[in-house]
Amino acid sequence: MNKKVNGIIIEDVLKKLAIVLKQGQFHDVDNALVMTSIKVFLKLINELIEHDGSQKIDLIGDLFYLNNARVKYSSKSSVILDDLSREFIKRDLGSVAFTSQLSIDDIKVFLKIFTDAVYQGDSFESIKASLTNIEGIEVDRLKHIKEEEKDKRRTVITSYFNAVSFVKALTTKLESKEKISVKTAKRVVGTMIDAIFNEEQLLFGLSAIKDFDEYTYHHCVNVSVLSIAMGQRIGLKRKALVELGFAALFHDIGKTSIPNTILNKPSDFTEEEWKVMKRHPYLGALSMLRLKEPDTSLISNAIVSMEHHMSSEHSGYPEMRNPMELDFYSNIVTIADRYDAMTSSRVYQRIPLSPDEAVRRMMETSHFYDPRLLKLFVHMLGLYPAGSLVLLNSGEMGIVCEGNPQCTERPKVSIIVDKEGNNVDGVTVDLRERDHAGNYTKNILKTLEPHKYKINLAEHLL
Amino acid sequence: MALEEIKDILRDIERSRKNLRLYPSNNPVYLKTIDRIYTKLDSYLDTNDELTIKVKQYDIIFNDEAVYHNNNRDESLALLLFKDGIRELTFIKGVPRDEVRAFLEILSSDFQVEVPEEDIVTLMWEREFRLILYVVDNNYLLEDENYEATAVEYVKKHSAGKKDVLNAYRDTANLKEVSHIDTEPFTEEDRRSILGDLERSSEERLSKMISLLFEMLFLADNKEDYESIAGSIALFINYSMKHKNLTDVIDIINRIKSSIEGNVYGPEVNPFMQTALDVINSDKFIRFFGLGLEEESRWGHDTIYELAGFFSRSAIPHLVDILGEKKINPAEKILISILSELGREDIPFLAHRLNDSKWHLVRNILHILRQIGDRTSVKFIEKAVRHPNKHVKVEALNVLGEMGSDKNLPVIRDCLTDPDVVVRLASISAIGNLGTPDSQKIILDEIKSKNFHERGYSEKRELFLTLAKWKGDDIIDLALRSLRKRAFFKKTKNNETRAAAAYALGVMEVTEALDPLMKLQHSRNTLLQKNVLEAIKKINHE
Repeated sequence: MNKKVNGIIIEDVLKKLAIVLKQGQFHDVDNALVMTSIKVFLKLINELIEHDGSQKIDLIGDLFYLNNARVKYSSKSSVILDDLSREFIKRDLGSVAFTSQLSIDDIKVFLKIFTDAVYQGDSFESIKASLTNIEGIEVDRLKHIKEEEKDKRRTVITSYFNAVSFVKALTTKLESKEKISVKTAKRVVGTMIDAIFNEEQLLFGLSAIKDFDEYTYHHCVNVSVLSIAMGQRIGLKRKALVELGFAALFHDIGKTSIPNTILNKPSDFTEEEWKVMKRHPYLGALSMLRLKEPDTSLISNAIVSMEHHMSSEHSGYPEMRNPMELDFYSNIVTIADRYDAMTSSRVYQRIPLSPDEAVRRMMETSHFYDPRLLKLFVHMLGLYPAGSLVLLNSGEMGIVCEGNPQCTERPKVSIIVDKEGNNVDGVTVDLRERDHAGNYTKNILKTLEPHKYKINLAEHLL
Repeated sequence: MALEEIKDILRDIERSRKNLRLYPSNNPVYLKTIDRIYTKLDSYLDTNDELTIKVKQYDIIFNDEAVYHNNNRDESLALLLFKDGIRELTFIKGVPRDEVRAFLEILSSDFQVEVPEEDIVTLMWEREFRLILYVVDNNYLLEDENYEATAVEYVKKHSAGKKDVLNAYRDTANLKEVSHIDTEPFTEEDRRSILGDLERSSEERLSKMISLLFEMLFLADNKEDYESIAGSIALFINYSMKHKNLTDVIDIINRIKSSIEGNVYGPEVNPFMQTALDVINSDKFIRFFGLGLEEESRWGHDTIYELAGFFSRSAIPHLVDILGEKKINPAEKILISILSELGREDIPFLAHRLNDSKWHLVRNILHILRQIGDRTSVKFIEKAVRHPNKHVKVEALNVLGEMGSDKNLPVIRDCLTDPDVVVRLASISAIGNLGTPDSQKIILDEIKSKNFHERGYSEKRELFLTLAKWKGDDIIDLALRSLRKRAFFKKTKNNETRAAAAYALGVMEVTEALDPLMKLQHSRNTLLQKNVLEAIKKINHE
């Protein structure tokens, strides 16, 4: 469903504008049909302006945005909106902003200018010049974005947040026992896998967003990202990666059955509350089973949900009467889940550990995990994973922005304080760099807890 | 020219969906369909290097020209691609036949029934095509288009100020230096052994899931959960059977049974477990079982009959249903064998299905009733003797012969005049099998009747042979008289009667028949001579 503002579907506003502009090309502005369309459009746009203030329509690439929010098109509207984008492009028009309440005459003038501009040498300049007398309508030239210049990183960031928002919506649906679309979930996992192939380190960095209020949703996506990245390093095929990513995304589904009073409790759990909390793997498996008919994805989802807290030596929960070896996917998700939980200020750890400290702890308690997968995980993130706050022997302080699988102790660091103790922004140093003598130029000397100082890698990435 | 070629290819792709759904993948039509499209595409790409088309809702565009239009929602190739988000497709020169085939197979998938949880994009993505590229609009995945902006804003708002950063820097003075940590390398051997685990896990995942379901029952603490878990166990019984994992099915059944018998989960759970168990008697389960039976070689007979041992009376109708659909061995044989055991629990039902319109099912049920051997079913079988199909009649006569009584003689006797010789023979055999004085009389009367002479040799022989079972003086006398009887007219018919009588005398080992038989041993009628010689041998125990 497209976004609604004050009960108005945004898609409709664009459609009505498109109709006005289209009719203006074939009829006189005073034509009854045109007038009716203008009135319909005016009603919508003026209501929006009244409710939300200025309304700016941007055409970026082949997508429309209204006040920076992407306008989703239904398949029904695509023809007319594609047509609108072509008309914008013809006139080199990138945006139209309606800044104050408009009258019928304002729109009539705009329509005439818009229609006539196509016959002018520089259509955009002609529109802009003609609009100087109309208050309340402003235009901008189309920004030409070359395909190859499109920011891959931007796409990856968008994929990450789309996934989080998807999990959020999914959780709401599950709580209200609505049907969820497995098809869409698979597509979301697919886009995450693509993003990991393209910008794995960026995604690890994004998973360092820990303070954000919506921990649960981020956690599901983070665990999925880390699990897929491990699976990809092992050499899993796409189908298996989807299965793993999907199971990881749903691993905590059981928490939707835990009362919010416990889930969001600001203080420590009582023994009874822990008991309830420890039922979430079981409840998760049960939810999965209730969700749909058995198939391979349901099976791996339910197994992972049930086993992700068991630990490979069965010291975790829930306790089994007849313990079984953990499933391959469960072993992966267990590691990803533990790391993300340890580095987050939530239920499992009121005060989060720094990423490097979490890795150390996991190595110290390696008996809980599959040792081979733990090795893989440490090599994947490094001893100082993205988000770690470090002091270098050069006297500079920085935040780890990229791990280095070949050299676990030597990540890339984004410097935030120089050696004189001044705030600086963003020079990245690669700790693998050596001087002429072959010695490393910089080493990590000390580590800090980024959470304590509200220092978050994510802000440098976004 | 290029436009026409593209239009032609797209038309063929649209049509291919029907053929690929209709025919099995080894059918010549199926293969031809793929070949035709591949050849046309290959030829186009040979001169044009690549083909890029843009996908609109109902149209496909090539270089701003519409090359395809169909607004029929069920047929439109454009809509099929468009609704899953595909906006552009590119075929590159050298695209292999396998890729084209896989692409066409994806398009022809039944997304409603066969792969309801997949879409074209995911299936294409999973196939990792090398030379078929596509551009996707993932817009519809967006749940909240403002989420990213809100999240970014939040992060920025809660990020560290300069002061926080400098505080952190100041605090570094009091921190300990890090110590070196040894990390073991992740080796190729590690990777290989992990992949081995993956393979094992994939193979064992279903049985693991089933084990977990039984573990989950220990964790459940309310009726709703018991019911859900037991319901899932039932679904997994069906799922295992659907995937032809018969041993898993038997394992689940045994676990359920022993849990109920041992009261493992408590009396509150047992009724739900019993309900789960009952799924094996359901239509759905038995249909999957039937499909599995078609490939019976993958299951051992012992395993099949072990499962059959768990079926209850309520499975009978569904087993009969699939028996009605199976016409090929070995499934038919196995089902008959299973129903021959289980069917005794509901003979009235089996008898009721004797009214079925499928003659082969009626014949099989008669066969089952015969195997069961319960005389109470005889009253239902009489009707089947009047069935229009001769195979059914024969089977019904066989059953009546084995299980019937004099009460059934009139019906059986009627069949002695059936137009079909096979039925008449079965009727004679049935009368003989009854073996009562009344049935003997019928045979005797039949041989003595005027019509007897006109019957074929096989019937005459069968009648004499049947009569031979009683071996009384009057019967021997009748056979001897028939042997000696000479005729001036219709000699061939008379010789057939004599041959049949000779055969019966041989079977009865009547020594006093040797003389007349010896006289006929050189008969010029080969049929008579052959039977006479056989009879002499039998009497002389040669």
